[in-house]
Amino acid sequence: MNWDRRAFVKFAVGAVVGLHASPLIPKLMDDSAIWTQNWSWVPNPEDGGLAFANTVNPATGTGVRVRLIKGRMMGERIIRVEGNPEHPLSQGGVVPADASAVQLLYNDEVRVAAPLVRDKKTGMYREITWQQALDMVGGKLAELAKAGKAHTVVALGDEADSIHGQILSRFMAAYGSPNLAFAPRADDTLALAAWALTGQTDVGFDLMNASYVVSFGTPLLEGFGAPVAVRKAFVEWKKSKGALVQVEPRVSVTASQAGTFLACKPGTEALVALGMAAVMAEQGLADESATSAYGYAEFKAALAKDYNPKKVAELSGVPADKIVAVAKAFAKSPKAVAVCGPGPGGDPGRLADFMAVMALNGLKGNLGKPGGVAARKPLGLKALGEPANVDKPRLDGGKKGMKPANALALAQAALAGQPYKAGMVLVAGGNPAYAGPQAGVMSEFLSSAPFVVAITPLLDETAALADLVLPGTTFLEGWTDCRSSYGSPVSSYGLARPLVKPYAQAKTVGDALLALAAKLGGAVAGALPFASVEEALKAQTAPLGDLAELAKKSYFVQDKPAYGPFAFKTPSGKLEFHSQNLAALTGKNSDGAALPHWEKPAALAHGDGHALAMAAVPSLRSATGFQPLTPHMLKVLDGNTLRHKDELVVEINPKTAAEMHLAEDSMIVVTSAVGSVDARVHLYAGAAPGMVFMPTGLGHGAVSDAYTLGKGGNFYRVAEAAADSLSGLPTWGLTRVTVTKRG
Amino acid sequence: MSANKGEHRFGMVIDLDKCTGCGACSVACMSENNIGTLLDETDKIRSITWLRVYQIDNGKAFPDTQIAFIPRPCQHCEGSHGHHTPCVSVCPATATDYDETTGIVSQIPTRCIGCRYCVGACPYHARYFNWFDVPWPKGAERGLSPFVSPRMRGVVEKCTFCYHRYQRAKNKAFLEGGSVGEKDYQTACTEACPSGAITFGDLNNPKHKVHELAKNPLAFRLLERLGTNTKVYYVSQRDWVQRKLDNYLAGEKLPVKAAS
Amino acid sequence: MDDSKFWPQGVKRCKPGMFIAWLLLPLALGGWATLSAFLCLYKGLNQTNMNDYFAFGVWIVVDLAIIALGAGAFFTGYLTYVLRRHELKNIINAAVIIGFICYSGAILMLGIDIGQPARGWFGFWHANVHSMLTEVMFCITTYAIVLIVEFVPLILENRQISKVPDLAIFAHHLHRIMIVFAATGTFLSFFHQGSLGGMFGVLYARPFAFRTGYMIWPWTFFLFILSAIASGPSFTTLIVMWTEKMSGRQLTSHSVKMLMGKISGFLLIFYMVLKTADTAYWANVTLPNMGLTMGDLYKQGPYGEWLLWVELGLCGWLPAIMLMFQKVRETYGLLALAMILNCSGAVFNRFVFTIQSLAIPVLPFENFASYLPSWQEWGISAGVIAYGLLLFSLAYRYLPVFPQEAELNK
Ligand SMILES: Nc1nc2c(c(=O)[nH]1)N[C@H]1C(S)=C(S)[C@@H](COP(=O)(O)OP(=O)(O)OC[C@H]3O[C@@H](n4cnc5c(=O)[nH]c(N)nc54)[C@H](O)[C@@H]3O)O[C@H]1N2
Ligand SMILES: Nc1nc2c(c(=O)[nH]1)N[C@H]1C(S)=C(S)[C@@H](COP(=O)(O)OP(=O)(O)OC[C@H]3O[C@@H](n4cnc5c(=O)[nH]c(N)nc54)[C@H](O)[C@@H]3O)O[C@H]1N2
Ligand code: SF4
Ligand code: SF4
Ligand code: SF4
Ligand code: SF4
Ligand code: SF4
Ligand SMILES: [Mo]
Repeated sequence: MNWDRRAFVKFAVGAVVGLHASPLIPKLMDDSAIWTQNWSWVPNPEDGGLAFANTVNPATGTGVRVRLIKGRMMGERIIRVEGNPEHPLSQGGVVPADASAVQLLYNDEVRVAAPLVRDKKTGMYREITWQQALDMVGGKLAELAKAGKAHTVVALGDEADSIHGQILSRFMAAYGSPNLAFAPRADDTLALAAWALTGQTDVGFDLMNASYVVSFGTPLLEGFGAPVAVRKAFVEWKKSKGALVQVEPRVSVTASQAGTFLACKPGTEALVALGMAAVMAEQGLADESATSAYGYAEFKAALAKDYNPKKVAELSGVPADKIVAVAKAFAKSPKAVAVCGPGPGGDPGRLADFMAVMALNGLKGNLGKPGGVAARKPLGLKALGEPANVDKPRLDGGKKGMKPANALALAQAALAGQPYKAGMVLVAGGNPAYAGPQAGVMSEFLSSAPFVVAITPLLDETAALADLVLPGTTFLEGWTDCRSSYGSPVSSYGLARPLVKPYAQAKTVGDALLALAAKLGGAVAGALPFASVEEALKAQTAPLGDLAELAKKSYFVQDKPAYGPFAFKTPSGKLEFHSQNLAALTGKNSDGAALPHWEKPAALAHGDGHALAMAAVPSLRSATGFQPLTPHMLKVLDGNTLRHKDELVVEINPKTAAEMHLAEDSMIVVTSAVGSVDARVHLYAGAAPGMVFMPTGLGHGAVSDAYTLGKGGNFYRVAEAAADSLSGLPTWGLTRVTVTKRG
Repeated sequence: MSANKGEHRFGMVIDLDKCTGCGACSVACMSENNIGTLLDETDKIRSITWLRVYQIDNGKAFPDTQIAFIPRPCQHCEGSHGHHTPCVSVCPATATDYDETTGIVSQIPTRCIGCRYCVGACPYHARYFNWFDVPWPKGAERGLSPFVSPRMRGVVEKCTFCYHRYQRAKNKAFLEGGSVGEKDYQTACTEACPSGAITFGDLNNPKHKVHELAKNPLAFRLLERLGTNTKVYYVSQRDWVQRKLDNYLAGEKLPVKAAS
Repeated sequence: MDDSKFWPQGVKRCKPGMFIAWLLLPLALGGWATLSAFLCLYKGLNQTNMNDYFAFGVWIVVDLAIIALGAGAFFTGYLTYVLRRHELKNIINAAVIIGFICYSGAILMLGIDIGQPARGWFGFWHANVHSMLTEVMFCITTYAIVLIVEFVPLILENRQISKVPDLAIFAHHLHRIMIVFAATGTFLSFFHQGSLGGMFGVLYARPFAFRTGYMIWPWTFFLFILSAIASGPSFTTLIVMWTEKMSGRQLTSHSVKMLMGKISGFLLIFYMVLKTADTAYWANVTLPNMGLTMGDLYKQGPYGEWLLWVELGLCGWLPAIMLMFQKVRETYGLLALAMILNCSGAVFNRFVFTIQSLAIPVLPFENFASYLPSWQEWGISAGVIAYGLLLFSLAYRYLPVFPQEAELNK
């Protein structure tokens, strides 16, 4: 071929035209476009019919709606948990724990699929059948009972009122052990405080209708009660220009949203309440229902002596004029309420503090009034029946009939063998090895107990210490229920039914216990004459109507609080500032012990050189207590909490940090009398000087999911739990800690 | 200042005085849109959160410190002439587009080449690149929604105002006759917020709540002075919060808006 | 092993052993780059330290820098073929090779830089005409083809290859129509150099980068063209000077270098006047309209105002003035120094627009995030340099790059 100019041009043009005429280019482009979208490892969620179902999340009290997809290959599956707009309390809203609940349902890497026996030496699990598992536990229980050691069996549950809690109570009583403790809750403290002053136990705060709210250290907007319902109320109440006063040592979300923030020293919130009470009594601002109450004169005298604004200002750091101003505004507001509640770390609070706040409400005369403290109407459920009495000493020394037991004290007594050692431990819900109370002691207790059975849906810290792990369910796949949330002024009942088939071989706690009862036979089987939890629920909810109907709706909520004269159930038949109920219980009637009073928190009395006070950071983005932290919750933890790979970040006031030669990101160790944790410093101007604020829900180890594994440190390992002097419940609101530099 | 040709201009009004930073909106968005979790979520500048809730403070010392939260979805910027969105105008592959009929800035991950030019163009950090393939745990696919395709690594994604919900509502309206009502098309974050801080709707439609709310004299937009002409409005009574959401020269006053 | 029969007519080259020893450097860097590229393609861009705040990293800096410096090819081509500055024939081959290296290197890098390399062509298929990047993609690819066309005849002029008659004729024809390609190349280059600048200037929500402009083009559009044609000839000349030092042979007459310096200098003065005016307008009008002062943009991270003075003063006005002086141009060292400063200025400018633009938070409550490239990013950046060293070394050894070389080294 001769390469002249013409040939050259022909060649070039021919090549270009040829290439374009051939299917090569479009084909390659098309293939590559398709190929870049079809990566085998990118999931391709199967489509199918869409359905909705209502249920309730017992962990948050939120009425939720679930989206289900029914596909040909994967069957029915839940793709979303969203709010139930019809639910009168949550009105369609959710909190992160609700919106991410599906992540705990569908994660084969952390779900317990079948009963697992753990080899204590190697830590390896071996799958067995339910039959074998029941034989194993039933055999042990029968053996202990035969040896007269039935009372040495310790059970830990999560929610006493739930159907599972009731089954557990009846199971333990019939089997013959008094050693049953549930997760400590502020509901118990509030019930005791109300009982002390009014004889009623079931009360709530009518936030929605209040025009002036004073909150004593309660994380109202960060996980108080049923968090969604509380915030719905908050917004409603804000619309009507209600005022909020927050008393606490940290600029929390609630403090920031409050019109007035009274920054107090740690542990002195209730002291401020008493200071306000003193102002009201002294200036004649107390309601006449209060001045005619039992023990008013005595209380007034005590207030004038010990809780006058000057004295309170000195101890609490809140200026006296502010205490006076807030007290006056509170007294003069037509609908004012004082609120107490769980601590930021989920602790049940101190009875004396709650009594102080309830006394303030008493002085205001808001009991039974709109925007005040409401006695909740009974739900009208049929109880499964009082559990039998067990005639054996309880490990924590608790008296017969005095509920509730202190899980920490049980564990400590059993560890010490005083008065006896535990023969077996049954953990029916919850994760005490992680969340305590006092995670270190609970872990030690579980590791040293001769045989530990845990019923849990997740391979958590407790499962890692158990000898036998039984697969539990989440609220989306088994029957469960929940009662009125903390602080709610109306009674409510939530019912969750299985919306999808339980994961693998999972059973609810109740069903596992019923199967075990059937295996044991005798008194235990007699006490639990139900074939299933569903049947037990049928019996319980009979007064509310058909179970299937109720389950479909998923809730029963009273339409409004029970306003009207308060039915006092005290010995005097009146409001009692001098509580005869409390005096009878504690045996102390003199020296103001039966009056609302303030006690210096044990943590602050500590004289062992620990310099700072530690408290938890409340947040709906993190989990408190044994609620697991979901991957999506971890994602929304803010940049200051998740700042360094795998490290815990604590808040310290910039001035305090400077005095300690600490700066942003300084590497520190936070040490208390019970444990220590590595952390980094975040300077937060809103943190009270002299304190350390620690997020909760982090520091999962061992077998948690790949996302939360090793992230941060565990608050509950450092927090020191002390038995409350009045209620006997463990409280861990404040802990003395030392902060030392590391690295 | 709208140059939308279409009938709708979907937008949001977020009341910062109601927002308590709970993060429910963000988590609801993740579950609605199949957003995964990375093994290290401490790395916030590689983590995907279509709706990020920022925390800001007033810079004062204890106890005068105050904090506020700024939920930040994509602002669905319109720019000066209808589609002059910072990100849309720069995308070489038309993988993100300004829908003139709704005002929604779409994102089509399957067309994205991953050049990240749009990420640099967006001043709100609303755009997220998939640096990793999502490490879905075993079994997680059962919890994924079929209405939004999970993304592969190497592409950009962002808030779409839950566009698939609009498509669904539109189809429903078409089949049943009638039009898409305010309740028929709501975003997942709006529904989830337990404080009711987020309101979503058609800014052009006088019957929709956002229409009035956006005219509130206390309503303003994030970095309004850049001319992004966004469709997400914020409301706050707090002067310091307003001031923190845009740039002002020393001595400059907040723009006072006429009460409507 | 004797490769002398492949050397250009009438010149000497170092011993093969020495040449191979020298090539070990680029080959080693190339190995590092290959490993890095493999990791980035196989595992994804998580291998880099880029993130959602630094969406562009060192690769884009290197890309923009080499494309600017590679501008010597089109501008020298334009002067040589279109404006017929015949002296420049003595350096045009080197300019073309450097241009080819820079552009093909940049394209290779971009192929790794995008998250979905297999979709790279979507920019053509689903082109968005509003995007400066679309313009860049079109122009760079077409211009790379032009550069290949310009490079091929030179390859065919290799002493052995040119013995094949068909190839020689092909080369001859290509040469005859070179003016068409030079003109096309010039047109394309003007546009993509401008579009690269436009890419940043149009970011109206990024106050640090945003510039007002003329019609649809922000001022950076014109400034990038100017800074590229001001620094490109300097870069070409510097590479020639460096090759002279390495080989110990004079490759072009000093007058050619002086001419290149003069061209660079005049363009640089022109550029600096406009760039200074642009900066002043931006600082005093554009930014205050957005509620910002220049100081606001220079207070975060390591990016202080000193950067601006280095870019505009030390690497801008100083070399511009130096190159104005005949004396400076006559002195080999001073000429080289001025050219180095000039090229550094262009690189600085590209760095500032890429990294600093992204580093400065726009949301008033955002914090500065830091970014340091990972070893994989450095690896690929080094790979482009290695690629250049390798290609230029081979070209110099085997192709008749410098028409004056035989004469000057008699
Ligand atoms: N961050 C955050 N913290 C909160 C809240 C919040 O909304 N957000 N809410 C607060 C409130 S109101 C409460 S009441 C507390 C308490 O909340 P919890 O008392 O912790 O509620 P649970 O239902 O026990 O938590 C869920 C656990 O129940 C177990 N479970 C699941 N299904 C079943 C079942 O069928 N039977 C039994 N027995 N157990 C089952 C599982 O182990 C699961 O881990 O949390 C409080 N803390
Ligand atoms: N992984 C996966 N791949 C699939 C499928 C699957 O289920 N999963 N299904 C296959 C099938 S059957 C189909 S029909 C295709 C459909 O797939 P596509 O239509 O390509 O993608 P989808 O995610 O299904 O559609 C919703 C998409 O619309 C985008 N979008 C949101 N807003 C807008 C907007 O305003 N404008 C535009 N243009 N887009 C917007 C969202 O980014 C989202 O990715 O995918 C196929 N491929
Ligand atoms: S906020 Fe960012 S991503 Fe959203 S439209 Fe505006 S520029 Fe685009
Ligand atoms: S990263 Fe994707 S969406 Fe963004 S500009 Fe590039 S191609 Fe467009
Ligand atoms: S509108 Fe939809 S996509 Fe956007 S942030 Fe809200 S939930 Fe997410
Ligand atoms: S859900 Fe509502 S209150 Fe919670 S962070 Fe989002 S906008 Fe704020
Ligand atoms: S190129 Fe940019 S400025 Fe021009 S019309 Fe498109 S988006 Fe608007
Ligand atoms: Mo489809």
